[in-house]
Amino acid sequence: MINIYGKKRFSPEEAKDHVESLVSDFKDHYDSLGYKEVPSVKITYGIDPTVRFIGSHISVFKPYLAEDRVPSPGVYMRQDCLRTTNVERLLDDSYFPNSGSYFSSLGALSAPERLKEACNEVYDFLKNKLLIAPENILITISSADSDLLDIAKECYGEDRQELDSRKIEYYRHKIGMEGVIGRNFNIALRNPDGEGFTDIGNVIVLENDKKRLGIEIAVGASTILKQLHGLDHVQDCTPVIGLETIENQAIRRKFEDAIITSTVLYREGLRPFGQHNRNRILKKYVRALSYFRGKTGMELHQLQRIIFNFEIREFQLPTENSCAETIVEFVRAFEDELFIKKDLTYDERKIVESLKLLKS
Amino acid sequence: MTEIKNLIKPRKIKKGAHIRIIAPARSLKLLSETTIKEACDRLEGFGFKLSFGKHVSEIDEFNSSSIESRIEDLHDAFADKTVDAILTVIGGYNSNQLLQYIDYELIAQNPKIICGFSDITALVNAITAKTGMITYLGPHFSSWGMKYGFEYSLENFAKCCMEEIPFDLLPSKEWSDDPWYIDQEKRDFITNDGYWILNPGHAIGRVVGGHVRCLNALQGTQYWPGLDDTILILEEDAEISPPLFDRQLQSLVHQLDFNGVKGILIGRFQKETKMTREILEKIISTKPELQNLPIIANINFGHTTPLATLPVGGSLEIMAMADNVKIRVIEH
Repeated sequence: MINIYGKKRFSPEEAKDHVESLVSDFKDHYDSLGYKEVPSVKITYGIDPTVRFIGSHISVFKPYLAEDRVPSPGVYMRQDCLRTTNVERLLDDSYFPNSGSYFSSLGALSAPERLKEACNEVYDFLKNKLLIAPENILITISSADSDLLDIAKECYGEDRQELDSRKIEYYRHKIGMEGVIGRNFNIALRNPDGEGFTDIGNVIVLENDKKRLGIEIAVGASTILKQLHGLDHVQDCTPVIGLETIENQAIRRKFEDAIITSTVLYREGLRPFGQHNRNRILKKYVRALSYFRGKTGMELHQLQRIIFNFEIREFQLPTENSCAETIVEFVRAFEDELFIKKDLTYDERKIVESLKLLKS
Repeated sequence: MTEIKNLIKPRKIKKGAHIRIIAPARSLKLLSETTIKEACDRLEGFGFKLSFGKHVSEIDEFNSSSIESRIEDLHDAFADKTVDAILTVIGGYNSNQLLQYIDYELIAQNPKIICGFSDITALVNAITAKTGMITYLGPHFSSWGMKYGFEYSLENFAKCCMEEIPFDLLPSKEWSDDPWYIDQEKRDFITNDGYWILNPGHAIGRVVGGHVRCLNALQGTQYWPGLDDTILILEEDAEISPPLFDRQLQSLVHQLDFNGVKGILIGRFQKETKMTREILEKIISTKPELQNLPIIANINFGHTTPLATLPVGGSLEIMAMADNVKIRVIEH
């Protein structure tokens, strides 16, 4: 069915091409404006000690801000990111994750004096590159930010603003740099059924108490595609084929999330060993795979095939470089441990109960 | 808390691979011409192409060579894009002299299999600790010179270094502790009585260890691999005795991160050590820190033959139950 953007849902097989096409559009746009591309880093690279995983391109941009050397017009990048807010509720059957842990972030950092130009450039990207009609774009902004308000009015039109609809925190950013704060307005796109709007990114003025340091533009590839193509979930941009028949959507989406996140982190060489939080977080995702396979009656060889197919499609790597077998070996080994271990934790008991369903 | 680097898996080798022989401990000159020829014939017969480090035959009063020579050969082997894997000539006493001179970034940028045991324990654990790259405790170049009784070593080297899939490490049917390099035709093979379960349990962890004194020589240094979530593999040579082994084990137990150890595998002791199952059980029973750890001993690694290849930095699962004994190499 064609939606208000004149588009329809894409198939799981087409998802990768759509994401890459959007990334390419973003890069072309900022490249044509004279911005320089910054290479992306591994999610576990550790370039930013204030975060466990790279959760935004701002981690890579921070040195430009810290050293006060944001070039004009600016820099841009595509950065694969991981935000693990779902991890603590993976085994909570009542919790539905509206976002996935893994996504591609598209970002630009422009020189501090270019606020107006930066706002115009991102608007131009949406309107002229992605061909989104102005009436389908909405700005949510705080009246406390008069400088942003004036420019947003000029750029997007007064009728495209939603003023003070959220608490002030919604318009404020922390980026893990002492003394640096961000004031932002958010950009939303109309929902594909025509009703309401959903955020897809923001423009952030980064500054300290003395001066403006730069202008950050951040948009999510999967959130844009979800809106434009009317996808059920952002994870349909990194689809895990083989889970579509799971009726319980909360289980399905968290199962997908655990597969995607485990695969991404294993591919980067992280393992669920050690006392560091990121290793412990990975272990929770890997253990959740047991919970979900128990809940959905999935055998290990089926899980391995699903991970393998996801990996090949998403990362387009030679089959000998797959980590699907390794992940499933860890899953099996952790399961063996649970059936021997005494004094199980609450979560471990839940996983064992789930696996007993499978065995029965 | 030791930082565990992200894992780097070196590419598996295939028949036709180019193997560089280097001597980071003792010199090639220590081996007889016959052993060298047997080793070359077996490796080449298996389909490998061989080359030798420039300084591999240098020899000094310690039967080794200068640090500069050994470092140059190590770096050349990693830097040379035509080299697929590295075997060490033999063990010795001084490979830990090299650790502060190694270009670990060069190794991380050119990951490849490096395999040896005994004194090489210090080298491979340090490389894994500093780079995250899996390294291998397994046959030296000299080990390949054994005419009879090498099949198990070969089979497990192939499983670990030539294939991707996980595998179960099984006990060999026979073992030997004879000086095979002196008389290849006069061998003394002993029937293997299998794995000794000294403590029951199950564990999953990353592999750390090897020759105990060489491992312990890394304590307190930047080359210490850390013990968080580890399966410790421990072996010794004929120089050790039960009390000396006890001292080394106690030293490990005293490490601040020892509570990260999940399980222990102990390689078969040489006859000369006079270590028996009963004595080993007694040693372990004196250490309360070991009582809840699964421990399996009499395994085919260390200084008896044949010997398995095990991946330092890789992952192991051990199941030590009376009715279910398993050592599974999950990632290598």
